[in-house]
Formats: sequence, C-alpha cells, structure tokens
Amino acid sequence: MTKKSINAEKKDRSGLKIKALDVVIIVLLVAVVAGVYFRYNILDMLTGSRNLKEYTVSFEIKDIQYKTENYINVGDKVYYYDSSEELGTLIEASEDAKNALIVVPSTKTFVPEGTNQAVEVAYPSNTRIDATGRMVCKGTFSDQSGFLFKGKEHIAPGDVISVKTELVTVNIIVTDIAPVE
Amino acid sequence: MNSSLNGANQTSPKKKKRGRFNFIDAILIVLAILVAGALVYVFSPVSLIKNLTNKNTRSIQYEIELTNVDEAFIDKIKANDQVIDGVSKSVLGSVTMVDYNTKYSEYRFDEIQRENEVGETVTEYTVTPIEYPDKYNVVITVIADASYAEGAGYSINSTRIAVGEKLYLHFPDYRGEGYCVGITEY
Repeated sequence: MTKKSINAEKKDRSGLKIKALDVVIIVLLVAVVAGVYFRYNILDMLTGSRNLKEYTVSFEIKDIQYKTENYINVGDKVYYYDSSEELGTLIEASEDAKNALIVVPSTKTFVPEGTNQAVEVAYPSNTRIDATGRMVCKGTFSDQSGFLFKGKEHIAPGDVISVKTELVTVNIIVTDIAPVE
Repeated sequence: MNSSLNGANQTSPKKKKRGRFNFIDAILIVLAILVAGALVYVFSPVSLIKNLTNKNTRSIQYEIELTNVDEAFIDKIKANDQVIDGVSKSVLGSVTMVDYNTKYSEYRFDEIQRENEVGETVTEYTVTPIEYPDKYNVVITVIADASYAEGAGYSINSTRIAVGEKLYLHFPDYRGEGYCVGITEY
C-alpha cells in the first residue's frame, strides 16, 4: 500500500469531509439568518419604526355609563380593540389632574320650539357622562404625514378608535397630539 | 508485510460504508428543531401556550344591564339561571341576582322660565326623565370562573368580559342583549 492511499484512507475516516452540497447548505443557512436580520432592520428603516418618540394623545369619550369612570386608571395600558396591539398608556387627564379622566355629564342637543338655535342640555347626574383623557403613544411626526403611530399608522384629531383596557371597552375620539416635553 | 497491509487496505464486499454524522448534520438538526419551535410559537394561539404553561383562572362577578325590557319578560330571568353567550354558545356563568327596580326612561326636553337675582326672567333648559310604565332596565349579576391575563383582562371561553362590552345573552327562558356595567373579583 502506498503512502498516498494510506493518507487518503485516513482522510476518509476523519468525518470532516466537506462536499459541494454541504457548502450550498451552509450558504443557504447564512442567507436565511442574514435575511431575517435585514428584513427587520431594513423594514424598520423604511417604515420609520426607528427613532420613535413619545407623544401625548388627548381624547374624549362620549355618552358612557357613569360607573365606567371607576374602571379607568392612570397607568392602564390601552390596546386596539380588534388587533390587541398596544396603543399607549393612560396618564393624568390634565397637568393638574390626578385621575385618568375628567368627567362631565353627557349632554343632549335640542332645538327649542320657535327657535333655530340648538341647545345642549346635560343629563341628570349618575346617568351618562362624557370624559376627556390623555395617553402616551410612541410614533413619529412630520409636517407632511402628521403623527404616525409606531412610524406606520396615521392617527389624527377626529379619529374614532375602538380601544380596550384590561377592564373597559370604549370608543375614543382623538382631539390633540403633542410631543411629550 | 505488504500482504498484511494489502489485506487491511481491501474493503470487505460484505461491509457497507456507514453514513458519517458530521457537523453539517448537527447544524441541520438544530435548525430543524428551532424552526419547529418557532412555528409552534407563531401559529399556536397565545392563549393555548399560556394555558399549557400557566393557568390563571379567577372567580369574578359581573353585572350586565339590559335596557327597555318589556314588563312581560322581567321575571323570565331568575337566580341560578345559566347564562349562554348567544354568539359562541358557550356558558358565561350563572345568575345570582336580578334587579328590575328601575323603570326604563327617555328624556323630555323642558324649558323653564325663572327669575334671576335681579328679577329678570331667564330661560333655562333641562331634561326630565319620563319613565315608561311597562319597560324596565334590568341589571343581572353573574358569577363565573374566568381566565385572566395581564393587560388583556378577563375572558370566559374566549368571550371578553369588560365594562362596555356588548353581550348577546341566552337564558333558559329569555334572550336579550346588554352591556357589561361592572366587574369585580371575589
């Protein structure tokens, strides 16, 4: 037996023989890992998901049962009702407030006979209420596109959004969006 | 010597070449396990995973208000009645209390003329509740064991129980819809 054939046999038994197919598999694995990495990073850059800042979104709630106020608190997380994606976190309803909501009796609009003027009249206490509140959301803002929640979804004053917290389901009307100072 | 080496060098026709397990195979196996685990995590309902790992069941009491219920039906809902979700057909608990002491009201717009401090007549506007004689607001108290998840709140067989949720309800002797107006753990 020649020395060359002995060496060849030793190599054959070593278990570290790499074939062309192994190289292809390694390249594919590297491509998959790189693809997953770039998918999330490039998509973040394209959609503006990077550099998110905090914004205070003010909202109002119309015509809800008066007891609902007891179930909404500062610190409650707010989620989109349908997707359950986290939207923001409730903060004090105003700079001077301690609670998550400022409530007032809900009103009903009437037109007195003989007049052309609409009049708003409040419901009796302990019946229906309106409320205002604020939450902190993350997003981006530009003069062209306005506020983009998480850099992708446009939210603006006037939007009616179905949301939920741990204990409450309610529709909110966005009234203002301002950066957190 | 050569003959012995030659003998050692020859492959026996009866011996088959065994498949070698190399590091590429190991990588593929690990990758397959990771992919399988990722698929299970991604496509399995989160609640299923959480149920397998951590069951968080809590006893709750919640109130549902049914408005404008005709007088003929107010005694159709009784304590110990089972409550069924009209959409999912799953059990939502059992009734412990039925309150139909409140008449259903709509509001009438009123103008009131009164004198102010300086003797001038001013007009004020109010709403006056007008009770319907044969319609009631019925508040039903229900107890049940619910699944709880932080942030998501309470749910019973995938029906979310929260203040403000509209529920479609079947009782043994009545069917109606109303809103959840209160919820507590007990």
